[in-house]
Amino acid sequence: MHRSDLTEPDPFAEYVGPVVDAASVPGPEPVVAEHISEPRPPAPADIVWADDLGEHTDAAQAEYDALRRAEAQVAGEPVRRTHTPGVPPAISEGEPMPFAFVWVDAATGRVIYRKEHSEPTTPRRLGVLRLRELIDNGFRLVVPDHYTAKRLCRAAAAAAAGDTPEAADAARVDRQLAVASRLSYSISLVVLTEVLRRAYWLPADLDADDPLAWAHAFDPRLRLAGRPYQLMHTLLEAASQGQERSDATTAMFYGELAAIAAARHPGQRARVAAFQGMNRAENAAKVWDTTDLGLIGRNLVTGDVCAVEVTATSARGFTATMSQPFKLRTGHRHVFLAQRGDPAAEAAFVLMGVRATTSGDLIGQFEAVATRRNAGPVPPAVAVAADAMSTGRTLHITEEPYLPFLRSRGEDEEAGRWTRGRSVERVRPRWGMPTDVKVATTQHTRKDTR
Amino acid sequence: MTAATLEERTAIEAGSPLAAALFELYSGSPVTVVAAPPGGGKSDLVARAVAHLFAHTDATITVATATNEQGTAIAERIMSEIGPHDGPFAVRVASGKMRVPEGAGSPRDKDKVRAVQVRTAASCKASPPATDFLIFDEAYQITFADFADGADRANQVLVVGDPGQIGPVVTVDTTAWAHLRQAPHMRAPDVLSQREDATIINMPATYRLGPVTAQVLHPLYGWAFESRRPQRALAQMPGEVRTLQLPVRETPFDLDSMTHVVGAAMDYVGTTLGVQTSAGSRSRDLTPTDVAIVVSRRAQASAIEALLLERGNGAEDITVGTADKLQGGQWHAVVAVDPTLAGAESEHALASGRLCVMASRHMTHLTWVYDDRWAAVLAGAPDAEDAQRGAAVREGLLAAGS
Repeated sequence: MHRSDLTEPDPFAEYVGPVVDAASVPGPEPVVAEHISEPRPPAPADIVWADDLGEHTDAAQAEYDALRRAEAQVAGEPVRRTHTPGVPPAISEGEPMPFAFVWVDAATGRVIYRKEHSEPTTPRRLGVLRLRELIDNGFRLVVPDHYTAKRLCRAAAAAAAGDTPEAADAARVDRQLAVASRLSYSISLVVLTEVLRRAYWLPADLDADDPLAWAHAFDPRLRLAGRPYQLMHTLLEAASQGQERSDATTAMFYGELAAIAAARHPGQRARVAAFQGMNRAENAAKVWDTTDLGLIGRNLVTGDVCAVEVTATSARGFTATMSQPFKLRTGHRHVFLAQRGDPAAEAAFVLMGVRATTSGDLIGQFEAVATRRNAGPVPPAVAVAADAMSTGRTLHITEEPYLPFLRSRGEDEEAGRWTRGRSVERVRPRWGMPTDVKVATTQHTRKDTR
Repeated sequence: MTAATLEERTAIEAGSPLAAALFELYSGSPVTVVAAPPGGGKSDLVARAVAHLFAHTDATITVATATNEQGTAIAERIMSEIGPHDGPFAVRVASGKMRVPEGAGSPRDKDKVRAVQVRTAASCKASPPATDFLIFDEAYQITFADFADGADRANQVLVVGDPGQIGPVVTVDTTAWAHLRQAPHMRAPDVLSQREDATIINMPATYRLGPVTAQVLHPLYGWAFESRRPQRALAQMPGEVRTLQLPVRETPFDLDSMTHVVGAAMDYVGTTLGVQTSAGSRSRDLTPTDVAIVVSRRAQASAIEALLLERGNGAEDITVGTADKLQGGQWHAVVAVDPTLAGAESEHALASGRLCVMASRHMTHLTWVYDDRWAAVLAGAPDAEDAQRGAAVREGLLAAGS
């Protein structure tokens, strides 16, 4: 595939007619997942202790990643990295959100696109107005790599700064792409090499920024060079496989939707709404990562997940040795990481305190949280801990997912008192100035009037 | 002796920041920003301002805090300022997870009773209170976005905080707004201060820190403040600051380094604290509960906790925590470990907010633990301006400790 270059001419020349893509007609051969290894449960060796790690978790994570990719190289194929998909699913209850594949045409250097499952099947040149139309109509843009995504963003920014009739539309698209391209996992702008990286460990000897390398890794028999639509479709299919986690997915989806909708408008009020939507989406993305069973080993490195060995249980809770580093917080609710349907997945507990032993072990004291759903005589967390102690099973815990409430602004005209301008009207008080205040106010620092 | 009336209890000093803030609130100013140095009396100002407004108006008053713990603490302070009250309660905690102090109303109590509402900023964001006065305590820990949503239905706002403290944790990539002077992820008072309708009041004194430390921290604040702390000193350790230089080691939580940190903290136990006030002088020996060790990393805290436990004899009663955790606390003697120890150069290590918190928790004496890599680390920092401020503070600490 032709990799776009930011120094190339602005791709946003308006649509002038279909661009023939020689290999656009044959249907794609979706990659089947059966030969792709499932994530394996973490071995004891996955538990990295703080003293071995150093404080530089980025470096430790990079080392962990390199190890996994080396294993994939030995396996000779991509190894499944996450249980959840690489591509966050769209869960729209209304109109479906189809994909629009966008790439740089190798022959002309222009940015072109083709919609999924719709006529015409020949790619068309993409311009600002068409891009706005795609976003407004709920299309999810799929690009092969970061270079193409950056090119789109840069071109939108350049068009927004220009003195053309499309500048306002370009500014809107620019703001929306700015939001989508800054999310960890975007529903609106899917960068294939990124979502594949999330879902799989690519063999270490292959370039993870190259879509063709990914296709070759999945199936060396595939001949997709020069067939960009088929290549992208195939890779999207591979990256979409996995088990959903509905609460995080929902939050991620609606968070981004709110942010993208807010970014249609300029100004502080819209920026605040976009930020809050992004915040929710990013919180959900973090939950997506920390609760993914495939990422337990990696999350142990950062301390987002902690491995515990239960040493004692009581009627109200349990005690356990804890792996280091960990980011668990005393007084906060935590959960076990487990498959849906496993009783451990239903239990919650609070970390009451941590004490260090002279041998350097950390002992956590946990108190079970009783829920209405599990109002039996033995709290579920205690039952799970007791079972783990008797079988010697290592449990993995993380902080209970928190997905903050996203306030719906709707069309509330009253909203935005502090974001609509540089000042609001001075309030006319219902009360007088008390004498003691009047007398005491001999000096104060008032901001210079501008 | 008769009990003081509420008016008497809320009497205000001429020319004080409290007087200035109340003047703005009674005059109808939409936005008043009060910036305070560490130990500048923020909570005192909030509690007294609220009590005054409660006594002199029929206004609805809401106080918002960054955390539940802060909410409970300020609710107690406000109740103490208001004193005995005719109604069932004068303060109502309105956030579900906030501990309700004795004598306060709870979220279950009807809000028909006139009472000061105390809740978290997150709760305000989810359901903005319609209120005459919305007062944000520790406002530098709140983003402008959260402020804007939470204060949407407030007529007037008073935001009070310490600009030297660690700001809110923002996990969103905000580079799209990096060029803006007012952006949603910025600290609320920093954005509000730029408004045309804002009044800014800088508190002029610290009641926690001594004059030397106040001078050392000055580069982190945009205005001069003085120390009005009672005269306090440790008989065995003159001055306010001592320094402890460690050899450069591979990791910031190296066990030998942490052993020295623990030793420095133990040096304080049993030293004699002398305090002189207008009422006379008094002295007592420091106990482990008077001492804290503030670090920048949890791994350091874990190692130190283990070492203290090993020592026994009450050493485990020394408070240990990260700057983020101990922010807001104060102890007579503090050992602070430079976040750049062992050449750590992450954004986490370099932020001057973290430095400020670490160098301002002590009421009487500070031990500053460092190694000689700090200057090189700061020289390579991406935010040169912030690094310069951090360097000036470190130079001040070393000079004060020499």
